[in-house]
Amino acid sequence: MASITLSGVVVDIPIYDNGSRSIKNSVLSVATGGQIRPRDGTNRIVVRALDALDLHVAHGDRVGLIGHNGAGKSTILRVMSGIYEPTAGSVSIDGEVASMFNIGFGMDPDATGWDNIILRGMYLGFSRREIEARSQEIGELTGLGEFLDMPLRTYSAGMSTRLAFAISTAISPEILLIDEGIGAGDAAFLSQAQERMRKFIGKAGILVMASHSNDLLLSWCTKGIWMEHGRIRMQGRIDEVIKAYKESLAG
Amino acid sequence: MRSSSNFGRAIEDIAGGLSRRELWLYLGWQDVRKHYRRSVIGPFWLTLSMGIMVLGIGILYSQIFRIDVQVYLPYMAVGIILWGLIGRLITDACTVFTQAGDALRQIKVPLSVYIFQFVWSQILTFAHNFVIYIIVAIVFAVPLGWDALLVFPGLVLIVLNGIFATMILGPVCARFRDVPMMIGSLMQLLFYMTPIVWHGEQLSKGLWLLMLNPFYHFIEIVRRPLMGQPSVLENWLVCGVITVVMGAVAVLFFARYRARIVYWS
Repeated sequence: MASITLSGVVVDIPIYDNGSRSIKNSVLSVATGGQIRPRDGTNRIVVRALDALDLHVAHGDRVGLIGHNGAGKSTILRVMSGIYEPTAGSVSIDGEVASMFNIGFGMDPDATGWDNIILRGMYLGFSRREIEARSQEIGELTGLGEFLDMPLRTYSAGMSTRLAFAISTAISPEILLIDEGIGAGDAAFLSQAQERMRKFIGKAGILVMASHSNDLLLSWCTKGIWMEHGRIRMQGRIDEVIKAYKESLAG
Repeated sequence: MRSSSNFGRAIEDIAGGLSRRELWLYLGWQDVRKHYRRSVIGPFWLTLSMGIMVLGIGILYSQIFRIDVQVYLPYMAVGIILWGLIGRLITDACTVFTQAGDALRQIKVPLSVYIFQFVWSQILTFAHNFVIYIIVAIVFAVPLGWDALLVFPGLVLIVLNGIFATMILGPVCARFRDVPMMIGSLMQLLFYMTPIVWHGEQLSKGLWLLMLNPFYHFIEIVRRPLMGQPSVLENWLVCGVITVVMGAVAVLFFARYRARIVYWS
């Protein structure tokens, strides 16, 4: 049985004041809306992306994360995936985790579609033999035909999304984490691919998904968690949480 | 179940990295090929440019030093090729995690995967450059005996130290962005301080400058076998001790700071 338990999880993202570190900007953009505070008297600034978070996700849960930019949605997902090890608190995760954050990640523009299937597959944890055995099936699924023999850079945006999507959904993880980083354009594609997505998500023991699209959340999630400033503001049934969130935006 | 200590997690990370070798073998190879895509001879551009350099320096400096080109060129070629490996292992180790920054935040992969990927790509580059040595050895009839087999343990020591150096420099350079520049200038200086284009025997005084230079010992343990010369025990001992110390420091360092790398990069 898959489960996720976070207790007292704190994530501080340090910001180093150095103009040459372009990463600074990207961290800030992730963290807008978190709590920015100077750390122990030094000039260093940390963004408290998650603040003493307690959360339990049980097998069968379909959780939607809601909140404004930088409320901590992506950070939670990164903690659950093991990318961020928390500054304080403990994380216990049972089950194999797969994350779908940036759907275009790990693709090589100069490699062919077939090579990218192998590459991405290995990133996802397949052995080379396994992914080679399945690449035919994945290739067919993309519907890209002879384009699979061409380098990825010749693909249109929609085509590369198709490819990435087909590979990403070829796995069947126990815990599936999805970040809306996929973007609006791709969300449209996702609704086209809803049938496959439904199957993919259905197989997972746990789904945790961050999104700004209420329709997406309502169709895929049962539970909702509303994040604000790195804390949980509300959790409950997805429709109720979305309703409360909408009301707070309107008010 | 995840281990609770930093040390345990670091060991898990390294073991996990080793088990994902198919991924980093592929990515490392990809790194080498990337620069030469659509070029006709591909990564053999590495070989070609190294070859031209060796030839140019070989002819000119054998004149300057008044050494027979037949003696000088193979010696210098081996040195340059080895420095290519050692120097790049150290200077480029600095950018392993900063360059992987995006990947680090996208997908959970053991951090050691990036280290192995980097070191493997350097080994592949070295293999392309090694072709130069083979040509030189044939053309100048370098006298090789069974001693030449010592090349393999020598290279293993260099590669191990490359891995250890990356475990230390990768995180440090991700955190302190001035360090790569410092390492870069230091390695440039060390190239001239180490007997690569010149010979250790040309040094009449200040022998300690050689003995205290770890790079001298690492070059020697591989260069001597490749030149058909007997190995010097002292070189091996120094390299052995350095490897053990580096290994211990690297594992402890990596254990302590591994979890912070993603925040720094």
